[in-house]
Amino acid sequence: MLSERLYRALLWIYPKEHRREYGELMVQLFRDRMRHEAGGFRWIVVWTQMISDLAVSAFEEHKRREDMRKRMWIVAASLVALMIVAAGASVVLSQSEDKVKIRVFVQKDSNTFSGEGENGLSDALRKAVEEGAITRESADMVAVSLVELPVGTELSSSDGGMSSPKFRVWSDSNEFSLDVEGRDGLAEALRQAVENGEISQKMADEILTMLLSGENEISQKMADEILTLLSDENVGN
Amino acid sequence: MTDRNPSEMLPLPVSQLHILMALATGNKHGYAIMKDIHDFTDGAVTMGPGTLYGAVKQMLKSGLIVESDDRPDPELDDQRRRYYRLTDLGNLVLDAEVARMEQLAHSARTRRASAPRRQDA
Repeated sequence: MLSERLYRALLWIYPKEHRREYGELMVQLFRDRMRHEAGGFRWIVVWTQMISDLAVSAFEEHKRREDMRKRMWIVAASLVALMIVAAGASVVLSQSEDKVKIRVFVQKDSNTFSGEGENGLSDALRKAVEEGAITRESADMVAVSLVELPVGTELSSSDGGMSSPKFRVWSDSNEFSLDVEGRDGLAEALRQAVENGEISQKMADEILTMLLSGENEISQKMADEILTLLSDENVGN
Repeated sequence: MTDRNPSEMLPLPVSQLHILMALATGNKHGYAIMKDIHDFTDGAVTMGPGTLYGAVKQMLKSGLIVESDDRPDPELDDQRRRYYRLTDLGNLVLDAEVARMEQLAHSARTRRASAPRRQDA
C-alpha cells in the first residue's frame, strides 16, 4: 500500500531509538486509521493530521535529545509535506468536480425511478413511463415545464393541468430532508436548504439552473452528496 | 504499591491524562486508545501515532502504565499489537489529577460568581 510505504518512509525524522521501539506500532496505528477512516476524501483529513502529528511529535522527541539541527529540518520538511498534500488534494478535488453528476429521482407511490448524468431527468421519466407509474403525457409535461421555465419561475397547477409538483432536496447523511409542495416548490426547497446551511447559495443556484436548463453537470464537490428528488406524486392524478 | 508521591507528577500533560482515562476502563492497544479518546472527547481530540506513542514512552518510563500480557481471544487479535494497562501509580495519579482539576474548576466558579457583573450596552 503506497500510503503505508510513504508513512513508513516519513518515520526517518524520528530519532533512531524511538523509531526502532515504536516505528512498527505507529505504522500499525496508521494502517488502522486508513482502513477504518479514510473512505472517500477522508484520506486528505487523515494525512493532514498525520503530517502535523509527525511534525509536532518528532520535534518533541528531538527536543528531549536537544538536537537543534534535526528540529529545523523537521520544520522545513513538514512545511513542504503539507504543501504537497494541499496541492495533491486540490488536484484530486478539481478532477472530481468534472466527474460529478447530479442524480434525478422520480417517485411514484413506493416506486422510485432514477437517472444519472446528462440525461438524468429524461431517463428517470422514461423508466417511470415504461413501468407504468406515470403516463407519457405527464412525463412530457414535467420535462417541458422544467426545461422551458426560466430560473425561479413557479410551476403552477394551471400549467397544462399539472398540479403542484413536489420536490425534495436532501443529503446522503439524511441530516436534512425537506418536502415542499406548491407553486414555488423547488425554489422554496433550495432556499430552505441554504438557510439551514446544508448547501451554499451558489450550489442552490447551480442546481436550479441545471434542472431548469437541462444541463446535468455541477461543479462543486458537495454535489455528490446532494440528491435532488423530483416527485410526481401529484402528476397525472 | 508505589513509593512515588502522585501529586509530584501533576499537572499531567493533556495527552497523558487522556491515555490514563482511556485505560481506566480496561486494557487497550494503540488504535483502541486513540478511538476511545476520540469518542469521549466528542471528536475534539484525534491523537496521532507520534503523539500517542511519545506519551506512552514517557508513561512507561514514569511507571504510570505497563505493557499487558492479558490479550483478547488470540484468534481475533493481531499478535503484533501491544496492549497497555494502568499501574497502581497510574490509578493514583489519575485520581489526583481529577481532584486537582475539580478544585481548579471550583475555584474558577467561585471567582466568577464573586466577580462584578459587566453591563453590556
